[in-house]
Amino acid sequence: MINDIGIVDTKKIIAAINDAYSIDFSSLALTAFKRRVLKVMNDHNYSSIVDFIHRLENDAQLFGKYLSEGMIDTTEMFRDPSFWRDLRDVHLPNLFKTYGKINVHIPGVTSGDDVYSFVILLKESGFLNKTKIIVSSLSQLRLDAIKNGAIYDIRKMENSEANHKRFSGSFELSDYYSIESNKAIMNSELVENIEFKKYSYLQDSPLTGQHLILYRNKMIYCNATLQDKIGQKLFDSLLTGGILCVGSRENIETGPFARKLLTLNSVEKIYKKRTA
Amino acid sequence: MVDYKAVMIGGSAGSFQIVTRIISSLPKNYSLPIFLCLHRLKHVRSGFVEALSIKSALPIFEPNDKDPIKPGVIYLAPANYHMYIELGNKFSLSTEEPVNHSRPSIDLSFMSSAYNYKRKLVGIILSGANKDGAIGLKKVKDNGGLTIIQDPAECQVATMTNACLQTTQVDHIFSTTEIIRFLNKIG
Repeated sequence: MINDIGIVDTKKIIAAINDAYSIDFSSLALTAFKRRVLKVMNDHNYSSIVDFIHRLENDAQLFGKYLSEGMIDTTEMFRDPSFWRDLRDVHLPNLFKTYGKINVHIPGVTSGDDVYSFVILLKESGFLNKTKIIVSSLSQLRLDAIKNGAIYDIRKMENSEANHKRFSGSFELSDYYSIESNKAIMNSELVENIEFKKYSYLQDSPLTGQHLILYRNKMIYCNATLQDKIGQKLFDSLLTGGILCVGSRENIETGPFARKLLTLNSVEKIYKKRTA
Repeated sequence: MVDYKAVMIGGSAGSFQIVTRIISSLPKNYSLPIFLCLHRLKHVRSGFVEALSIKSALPIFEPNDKDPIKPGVIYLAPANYHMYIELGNKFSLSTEEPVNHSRPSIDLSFMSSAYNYKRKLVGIILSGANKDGAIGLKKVKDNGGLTIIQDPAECQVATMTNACLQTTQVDHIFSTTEIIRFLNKIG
């Protein structure tokens, strides 16, 4: 088992991935990125960085698998129930009142926790058929998994149940999944009208025309420069009057577009685009 | 004497009163940043900073991601995030899997700050009921930093400090009073 990777080796891995697949990880937050690489290497019993890089470079399918496995997918459904309540009770009704139907983009998904949380919210509120959702990720494997019912570890559902109770009060989260051999499988009918799209914020053009973007606890894995870049793309893809939600400890108030945002909720980090 | 740049304190069950005593003893012009990584309920996001602030002359914040680290400020790891110290004197937060059933994990906070500050870091482990922190404190030692544990005889729960003794040749076993005296001497 490898306990640590130095900065030089980390840079070699990043360069190899960029050369072979044109995916640039050089602006990710270093500590978390190193931990992800270590996890993948140790899960597959690599003992040499050179071997690891060699396999990565020469096997696209394997790279796709490692990319998916390396992604951070350990949040829970309805993380920060008070965020979801505020979205449901205040901001979504305002959007529907103004626009009738809305477009929503949920980028950078890994586990799909926020995707299922959001569609459950919509279903419980009767908004599901008024919402067009795009879910995107760098990883096709992750998109396929969410589409097919995102299989969750049963232990994780305890947290998610508790969160959902704090959020809802009137429905049971267990109504939305079934259990098979200690795994929770979400009801994939919930996501059957969602468009799943392989997508990179850095390379692909912005998916414009969004009324709502849910991008919670994703930017924490980028360095400050990349955060500004991604923040700008998120901003560009929102309609004026549209809403951007980030994680409760993420900071976009110092970004270049910050003055064009109105803070709707400073604790839950909900913002509205007020200037084009 | 080493010119220390930061202090990292970890604790769990039985540590709240000790932390309160420590931070209430630090003067307004204290010169080092202090990081607190304490186990806490993941779904209770507010109240902890407020409770600690009552007794402290220094400002206490839960950092936002990528906030710069400032001297004379006490930083508390926010609920349900891991708190890392990145090169370039910034925080990074993470929702990676809990370590030792904990998010924030003391091991992860200690490891990243040990990597960042090397021999300029003081790591302190207080009372606690699991072994989170033992590997982190070892990393502090391995990187040349100073390692201190609260005297297990004084701890309300000594599992955490005992785990440190098993993994690391710690530099000091201190009573709370001695920890306070030491911190006032270095900052």
